[in-house]
Amino acid sequence: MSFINYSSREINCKIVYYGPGLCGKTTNLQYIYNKTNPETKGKLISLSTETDRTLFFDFLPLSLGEIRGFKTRFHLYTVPGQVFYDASRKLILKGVDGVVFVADSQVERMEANIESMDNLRVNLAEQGYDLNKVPFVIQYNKRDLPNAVSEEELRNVLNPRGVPDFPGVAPTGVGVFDTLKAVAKLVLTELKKGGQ
Amino acid sequence: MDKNKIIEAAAKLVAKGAYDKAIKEYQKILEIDPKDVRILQKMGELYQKKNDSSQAAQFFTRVAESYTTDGFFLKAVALYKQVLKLDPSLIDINIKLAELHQHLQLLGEAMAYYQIVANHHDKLGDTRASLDVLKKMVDLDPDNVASRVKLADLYVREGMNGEAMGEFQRAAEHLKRSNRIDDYLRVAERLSAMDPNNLGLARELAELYLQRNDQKRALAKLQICFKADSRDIETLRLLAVAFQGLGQTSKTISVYKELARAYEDRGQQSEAEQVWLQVSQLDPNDPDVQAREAALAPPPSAPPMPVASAVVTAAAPVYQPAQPAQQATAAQAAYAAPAGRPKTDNISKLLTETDVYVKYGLHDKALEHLRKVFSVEPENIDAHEKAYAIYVASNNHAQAFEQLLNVLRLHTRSGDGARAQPYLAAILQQNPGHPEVPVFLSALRVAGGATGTQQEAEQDGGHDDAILVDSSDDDVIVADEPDEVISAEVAVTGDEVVEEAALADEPLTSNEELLMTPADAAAAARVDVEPPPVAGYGDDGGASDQVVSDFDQEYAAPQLDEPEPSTGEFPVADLEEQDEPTGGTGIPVMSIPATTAPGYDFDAPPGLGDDEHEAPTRVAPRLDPSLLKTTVGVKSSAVAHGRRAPVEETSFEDLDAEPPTGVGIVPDEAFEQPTPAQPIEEAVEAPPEEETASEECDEATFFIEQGLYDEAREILDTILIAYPDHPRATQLMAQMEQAAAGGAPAPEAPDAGSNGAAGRDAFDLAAELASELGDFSQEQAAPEVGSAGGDDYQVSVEEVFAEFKKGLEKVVKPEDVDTHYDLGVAYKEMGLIDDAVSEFSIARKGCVGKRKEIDCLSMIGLLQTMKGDFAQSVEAFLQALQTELAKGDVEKALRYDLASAYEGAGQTGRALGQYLRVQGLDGAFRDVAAHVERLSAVATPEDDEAPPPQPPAGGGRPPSGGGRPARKVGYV
Repeated sequence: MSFINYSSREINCKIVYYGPGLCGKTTNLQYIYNKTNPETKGKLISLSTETDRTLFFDFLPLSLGEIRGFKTRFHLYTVPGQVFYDASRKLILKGVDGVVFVADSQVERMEANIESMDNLRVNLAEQGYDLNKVPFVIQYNKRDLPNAVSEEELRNVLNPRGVPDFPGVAPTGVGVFDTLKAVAKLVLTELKKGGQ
Repeated sequence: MDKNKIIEAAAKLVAKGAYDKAIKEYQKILEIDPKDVRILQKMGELYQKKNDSSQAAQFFTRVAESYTTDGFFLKAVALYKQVLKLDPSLIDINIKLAELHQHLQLLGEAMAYYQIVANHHDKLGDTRASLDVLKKMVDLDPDNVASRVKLADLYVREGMNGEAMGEFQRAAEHLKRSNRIDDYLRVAERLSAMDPNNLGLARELAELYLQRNDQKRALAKLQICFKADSRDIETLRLLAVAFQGLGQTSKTISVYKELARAYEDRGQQSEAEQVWLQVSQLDPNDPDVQAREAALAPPPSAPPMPVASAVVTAAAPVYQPAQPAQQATAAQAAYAAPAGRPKTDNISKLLTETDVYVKYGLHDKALEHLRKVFSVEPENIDAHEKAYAIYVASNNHAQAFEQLLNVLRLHTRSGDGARAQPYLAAILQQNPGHPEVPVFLSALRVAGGATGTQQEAEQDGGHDDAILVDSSDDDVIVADEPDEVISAEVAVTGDEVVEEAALADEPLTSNEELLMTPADAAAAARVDVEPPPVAGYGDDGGASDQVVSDFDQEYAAPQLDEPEPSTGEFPVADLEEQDEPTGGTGIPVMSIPATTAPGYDFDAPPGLGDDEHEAPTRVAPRLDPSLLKTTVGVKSSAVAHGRRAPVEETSFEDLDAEPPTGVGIVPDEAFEQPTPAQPIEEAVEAPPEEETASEECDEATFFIEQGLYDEAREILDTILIAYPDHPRATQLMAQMEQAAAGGAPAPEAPDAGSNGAAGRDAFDLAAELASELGDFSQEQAAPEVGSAGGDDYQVSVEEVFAEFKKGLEKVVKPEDVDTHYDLGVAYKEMGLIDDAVSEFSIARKGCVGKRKEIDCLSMIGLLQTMKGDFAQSVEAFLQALQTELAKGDVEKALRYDLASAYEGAGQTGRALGQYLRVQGLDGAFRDVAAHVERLSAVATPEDDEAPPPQPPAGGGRPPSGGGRPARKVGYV
């Protein structure tokens, strides 16, 4: 559930972009950052390692306006995708309100997708979350690549539960905002549920 | 040639856009002076303008080379970067850049360029090239463990194991020096996998694992040490600690015995005595301990001492009962009884968390928690019950049965018959022939208390063989396998266990007739009562009203109204009540796959005497069947089965013996199945071995033909233990080993079994270890085989976070209030409280006197409350309230949080005062009314907020549930 600060009258929702290494999580955030009204976005914190991979996490705060007098802010995070950053991923998942799984459509990354999805499930469970209950959407990124697996196949493997999913080409923005809107909607629905 | 004129002309051509002509002009100069850097650069620029990246890159490269030679490294760097932009596929340029950065002492950048090259080669599968680059990286930054491990991985991939081990070794040493023990363990594991003969490392790892309560991994390492030297004192000591940590008392005892004997063999009698005392503390009724005690007592009227016991007694040093209670060695104390024993609530918390893990199917995590419980409370019945349920759910038959026995033993000790009923039913269903079953039945069918009496009577009598029969004559009837048996098959799917049938859960009464298999009777005729618990046990006595464990609720299973016909696989004792509606046992029950040979239960060969107390009276002193006891019914532990043979022998003897008076034995069908072995004593009088074991040999032959080597080995081991020189079995074993060589690896070296009694015992322990480890060792082995990926290497969060913060310092200025504020929120969400406070503090500095300052102070206050530092929390809220902008809704929220902090600090009067003020401002604000009502009953309001309050002595207490500041609430 989201963090509500009564004195600052803020609701902060945490959305984590998860997925295998080099699937395009950071690119999603970069696109969102580039295409968002400057007044509604904070600074994009995106540090990279010497090998140009995400260092710890990327972070982009977005404002969504007010809900019942509370400023609603979405904090978008990415996790480092490489397997040896599992401890970091666990930490970043703490307090998560919604998850976007960015899958790499390339056929040779299918195994990495599956592994990452399993890793997500396990790491969420360790934090006491059930992936089946957390607001969750999937983006099949890199649809423009010639070696992309069909969406149907990706769906069969990665999305048996039929959560909202979107094809994406993150560098050009295809599917990026659709994905964000979908997960935001689910998170807000959960938020409202909590108030009932 | 006038160089200047040519240059001038070329410049004019360039200005006109006649690039090709200009190039031709410049070439004239280069023909004469090919190293003219200025001209080379011009050429590069011209080709760049022509969009001829390749040519441009070539000329810039030449310029860069020239600069490098002349020592103008920065210029060279700039040009090489230019080249890379023009043609990123020129991977070697990265090497040049790396070398230049190295010259410039910019090691981070150098490493980055090397990494790019290494990744490139890696992607292409060019391991050799990748190796060269990684070597440079490691030379450049010897402390970069990730590079070194990667390099080692590549060496492994190339089969260069020597080099790989060297790199792993250096990485491990660095990690150890840096006290990064988690990472050290991972790297050292790799090293250990590559160099299994490094016993020092294996033992060191075992010790580290034990320090972390990871007994399973410790056992995996100790298994290596044990194989190398089964009598090594240190190994045995650690083994005992590991088994104790797992709550496996019987195995702990067995290892201690072995340790004591090892000491005795070395003439270290006092150490041996201490270990024997450990054994006696764990199990005062242990036959060996009793035998040692008996050695002190005058022997006149005692019944003749069984041979083996006599040997034990003779070998045993004088028993000294007046030893202090705590006899553990320093190391044992360090591991097995660490200081700061968790409080009961901690254990309760661990158990609750275990339930959560189970719920999510995280069995490994759940077991890890249970091991923590066992390490401090080995006899915790709840934990054993949960462990049983987990092992059942995970289809780990060996461990499940082990835990089932543990649970029943503990219930037997506590006399908690009601709670034990489901487990009793389970063991009757799975292995009614287990020798301890009569003990359980006898102890648990009556109300608690009777057990103790019975035990005492039995001990006093001193006639082990007759005790149970004597005391159970009226109750125990041995009969045929019942016509109707209760079938309880269990479907285990993932983490859900569904019982298809349930057994009667009513406690047995003394009037009930128990239809037992001959195995039960045979066991009953010789099984001693389980020894009383170790000191400190008995807290469960009060839990008798809890018929089922918490786990029962998790696994509440549908019940069938009627018992189903038996499958024949697991004949169980038929309870009289079975015609009545059966109550759910509520516990998961193992479903062990049918054996290949119909009707033959390999898991629990009927009549197998697994009783540890029997063994000393039957076998050589070194043979300690208690180790074997807990593996009864373990199909997966082929070796363990084999090692049980000497115990099995006793049951054969019992089978053949006349039934006890008053007990009618009709051979069970199962008993007519092939019998794996003959008793040693009986073997003397028995028909020729070949004839005796011919059926077993036939069966082993069948299994070998079918490729079922484990099953074959199981049988052959059994035969060879009973008849070490059995020619056909020896021949079959050799055939089988040969056949198996190309397939599954042989589990253990079987030759130890023929090395006399001591060897057998040691081998038993090895088998037990193998059984204990089960799939774990295979899991461990997997990365060893294909370890090139190095996926098990993990980068610590601390390391990453430190680097992250360092990077942030460069990109986020202190005056960037919003970003620091957002980072504070991010860290808070991750539970990085101190870092979050730090960010909010930095943010606050940039917004003093503004509305945002209140937000920062409010967040700091909330974080301090989360941290439990209520004094700091109160101070932050008070500061926020002192600002001019803290009015209206803001004031309300701040006072509410302040009240909560006061309450946490134990200052209920002030808390009430603040709540009242909030109520005055807005009576409907959150749940302020409830807080006012609650606190009004215990305190009078205080409204003095001027001086910052002091924390109460001894620390504050957390605020009550409703009064906590908003953390994670779902409310809009």
